[in-house]
Amino acid sequence: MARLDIPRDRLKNGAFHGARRAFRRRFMGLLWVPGVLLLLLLLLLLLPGAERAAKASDRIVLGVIVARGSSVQDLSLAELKRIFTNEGDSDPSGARYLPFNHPPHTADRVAFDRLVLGMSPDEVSQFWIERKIRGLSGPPRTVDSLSLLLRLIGRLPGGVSYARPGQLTPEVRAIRVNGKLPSDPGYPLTFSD
Amino acid sequence: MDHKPAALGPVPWRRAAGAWLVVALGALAPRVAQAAEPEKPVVAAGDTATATPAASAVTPTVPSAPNVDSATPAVPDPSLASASAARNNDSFSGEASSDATADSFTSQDGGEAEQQHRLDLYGFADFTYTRLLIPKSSVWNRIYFPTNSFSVGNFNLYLSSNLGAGWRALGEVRFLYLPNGSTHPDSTTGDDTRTDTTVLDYAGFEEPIHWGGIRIERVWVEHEFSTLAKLQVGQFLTPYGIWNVDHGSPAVIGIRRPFAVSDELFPEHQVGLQLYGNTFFDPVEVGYHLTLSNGRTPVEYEDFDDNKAVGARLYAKTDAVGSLTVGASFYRGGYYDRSAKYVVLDHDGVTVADKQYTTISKYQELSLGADVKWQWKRLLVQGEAIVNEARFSHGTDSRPRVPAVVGPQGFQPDYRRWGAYGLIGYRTHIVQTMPYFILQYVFAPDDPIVPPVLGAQFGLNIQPTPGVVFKVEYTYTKLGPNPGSIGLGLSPLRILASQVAWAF
Repeated sequence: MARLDIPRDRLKNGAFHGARRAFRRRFMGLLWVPGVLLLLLLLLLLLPGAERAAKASDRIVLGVIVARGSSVQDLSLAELKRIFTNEGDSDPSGARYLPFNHPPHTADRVAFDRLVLGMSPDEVSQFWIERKIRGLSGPPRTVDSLSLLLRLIGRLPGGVSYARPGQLTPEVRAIRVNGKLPSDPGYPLTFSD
Repeated sequence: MDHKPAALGPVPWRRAAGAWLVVALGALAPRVAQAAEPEKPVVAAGDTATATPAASAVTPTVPSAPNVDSATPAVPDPSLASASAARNNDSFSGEASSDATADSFTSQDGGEAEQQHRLDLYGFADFTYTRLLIPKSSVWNRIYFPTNSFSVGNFNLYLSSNLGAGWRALGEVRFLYLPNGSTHPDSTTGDDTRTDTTVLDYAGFEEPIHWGGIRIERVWVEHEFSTLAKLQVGQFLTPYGIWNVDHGSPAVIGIRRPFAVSDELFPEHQVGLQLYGNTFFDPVEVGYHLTLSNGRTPVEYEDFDDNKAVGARLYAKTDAVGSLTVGASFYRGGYYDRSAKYVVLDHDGVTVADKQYTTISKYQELSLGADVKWQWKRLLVQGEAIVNEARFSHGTDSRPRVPAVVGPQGFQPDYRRWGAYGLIGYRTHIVQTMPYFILQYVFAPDDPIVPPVLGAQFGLNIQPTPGVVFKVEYTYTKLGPNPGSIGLGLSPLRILASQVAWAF
């Protein structure tokens, strides 16, 4: 019976070995896939932190403003909601608050509506539509110019609006919201642009 | 069945209410005259005049120059130019102009400042297709109306104005195709006569056209003394429950009003006075309404028996657990309808013309209602329960005849009706779609015609954009167990309806 004699180099470089190499190339070469996935996972885990850090640095604060001579010192979020939904609320002197809004869909208005009223822009529109159908009074006045808004608030007793602290003029001042000033940690009217 | 509601006794004291009304209106008259005077601008354009406190005003008296409704001041304001250096702070100036239409219904808002007497026009309308899902043989195919039809149901126009110094006026009218097409059944002959308002249009070539009508939904003027006391005089929607005040098709969830509301267990409107207000005991708001009116009358502007109706509503609202409102309502008044004819009488030898009246219907009624509305995030739950009872004056003269299929006709007995509904819905993020379900029941044991009604409505309320609402609704109405005197309870009623409602 003839002996099947396969040379060692043939065994080493031959078909069997070639198949094993091909297998290794095909499948072991795919090892980079889990590596990349792992990297992506790491990135995903790290990114929100980085985003949060970036956002923390981009945090925008909205101060609730009144006339410098106003006796109002502090308003709760609930009171702000009542004022800006025209449900009727009075300041300590008994005068009715006169809320003034930023124009719809501006960044500060959207943020204020979300933080104070808990509504998106569409929900705000729907809210006022339904309210007017009921025959109730309409929404607060909007003022298209910030400088004009600040002047109005500065001159109108009972006037209430909101602006970023860096935008304030000597005629107006920011008051506490829920007992916190805009510079205090935990101030409720902050958002990321 | 003859209920004798103990609460409905003689009410002579309410007749004195008319005199009170005159006094109240007299007291208001000077204020009306004051409001009619032109508003003086408190702060001149761009100057440094001191602003007068607008404490007493609902609407502020603001500088006349800045037109806060537009991107540019209505009157040139020199101080704005000098302030241009500060414009780098004007973070929102001009940003919103392209999007401002989102608030266009709110007219960018309110006309509160210098345009004290600006008239705001807005309103709503709806278009509905109704189809009955019942066998052709069902009697409802003949008597329900309108069936399998397109229709414009509501076209309501609001006219509102802030008059200054705490005065506000509102009018709401509904334009109608009616009376064209309305039918009048004759219970003695069975004839159902349709009103035809066809006339020839003189402005054209005398083409035939149909004229319609206008219904005054409400018209009032209001003065706010404080948030705790606002006085309305005129015609107003009765402040009870939820649906009657919401009432506009873009504001209500379903297509059809619940029977408890449409059956007017409380009168829908009243003409008279309404005092209302609210106050806050954080986190709870408490509010009230008090009404004094002609009550339910056959003619809106005339109270035949000088017997004023009184009503009240008390509610509490809190945002502590979502937005929860709980209310209770009350109404008590009389109804009197009569026919009249002129007669000639001899008065001490002088012939005079006089009028004689014959009572058609006269009763005292009492309505009580309770309501709850809870909105938690996107979930809405609301419900109302109402009872109404009426006691006719003594004798048969005050009782109208009741139509009967099989004679003889009887007289209307004293009656008690009650009804309730509950609604649950959830507003999803998908095109602001709200699937909703309404379950309702009304029961009038003393009404021989209408058997108890159990109704269920499933529907979708879709808001693709604020002010536009699509609704699709399936209604199943089961009447019974008794068929009622004319057999209405023999066949259930199934309705498929779709509606688009919009505010403008």
